[in-house]
Amino acid sequence: MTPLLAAFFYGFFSLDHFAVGPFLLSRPLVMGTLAGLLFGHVPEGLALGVLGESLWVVVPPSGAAQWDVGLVTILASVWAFTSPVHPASTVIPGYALAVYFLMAIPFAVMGRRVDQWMRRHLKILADQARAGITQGVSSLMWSNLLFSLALWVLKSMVVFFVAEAIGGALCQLLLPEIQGPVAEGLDRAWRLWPALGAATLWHLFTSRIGAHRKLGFSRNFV
Amino acid sequence: MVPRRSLAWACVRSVFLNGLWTIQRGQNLGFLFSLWPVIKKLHARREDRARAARAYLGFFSTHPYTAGVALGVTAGLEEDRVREGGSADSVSTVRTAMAGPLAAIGESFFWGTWFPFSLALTMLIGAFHPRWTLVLVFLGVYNAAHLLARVGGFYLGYRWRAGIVVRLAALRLQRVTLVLAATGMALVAARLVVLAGAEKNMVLGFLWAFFFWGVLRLGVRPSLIAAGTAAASVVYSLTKAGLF
Repeated sequence: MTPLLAAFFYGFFSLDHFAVGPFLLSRPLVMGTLAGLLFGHVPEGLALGVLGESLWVVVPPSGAAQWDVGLVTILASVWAFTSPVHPASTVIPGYALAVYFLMAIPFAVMGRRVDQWMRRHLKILADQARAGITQGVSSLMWSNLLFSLALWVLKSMVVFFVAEAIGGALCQLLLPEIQGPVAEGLDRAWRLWPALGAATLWHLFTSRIGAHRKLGFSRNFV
Repeated sequence: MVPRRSLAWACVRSVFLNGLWTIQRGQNLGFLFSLWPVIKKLHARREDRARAARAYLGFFSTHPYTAGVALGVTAGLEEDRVREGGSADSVSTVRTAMAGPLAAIGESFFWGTWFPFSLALTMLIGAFHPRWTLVLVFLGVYNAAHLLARVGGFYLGYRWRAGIVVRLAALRLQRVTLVLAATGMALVAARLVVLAGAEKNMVLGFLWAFFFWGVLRLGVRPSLIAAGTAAASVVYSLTKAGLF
């Protein structure tokens, strides 16, 4: 029941990335925290969210060419929090979170293909609405907009379910095999990634200041 | 005059600007959907509404937050046109001319500076209080500026019409951007200090961040660095255990 709820929340909040706002509701930090709240693993959800958010801070929250980075976090969170490998009441180890996080990235990247396919086909609805407008009628614009929003929600839920099923099965196969030095190495990577997130943010800020320096500081302050 | 209620409704509808987006015409339908309450009030006859709407069916693309300015200016100019007469195409031309600069302002300020700044602030607070309420802080800080730009931009655009261009230039957003970027860097450094202090290994945390920053400067994507770090860590552990 809870994965279904997670799929619904993801589908609804992903509208923020595709058609509404954006109010940042589909970003990794929100998705990770939401999944953490749903499954009772808030610290892990928050950690996955902060990591995803800081790594992909350069990916704008909306735009036709942007991939949905929130999908990585929600997938990784749902796999981690529903896996039979970890009992519900225990803290999920860092190496497992690292595996889930890395596994979710290709699914989110592939999901972008579906987004592009959707955008191409939603042109039909836009054309209909435009035809109505040229006659001075706005009802088609309303109905087609609402219909397109419903289709986006449906698309996101389908993508989530497919990725959750395939990736979840792969994770269940893979995770019991990860032990000893491999688990230790992945655990180390999990502990190093916050430094990478901080470096990404730092890099972004220094780039902004660098751009100003190229324009000339004096021009901005005089 | 367009009633305030219609103007407010137009501003609210601007959140659907990206709805029915197409590669051929961008946000034209989203824009028209937002402007529709104004058009409906200004043109009582259906034929007139259709004629007015046709002028806005061309390609339009801008930043969703600063689009409020273009929307307000268009609503104001459309009102002037109905009162004083004139061509709808001239209003549409003003709208199109504003789209590019407004997109540049939005991209640079919101995506490039305010968003990472809000995140850096949230992450620093999160280092002390890692609770779920952190997400409310993040959304609250970010959306305060977003909603201010959306509503304020619409209001001022409607009030000042095309004169808003000169007033926007006087805002010197570049200076604000620079101050925010410098503050953001300080917030990131403070978070590293807090995190590194908690693990009793401050120097190492900074060294790793510095190393990653160097790799990022080479143009490598953060996702690839994350995967590379994981691979390198596993190889290191295997080597240490004598299995590699």
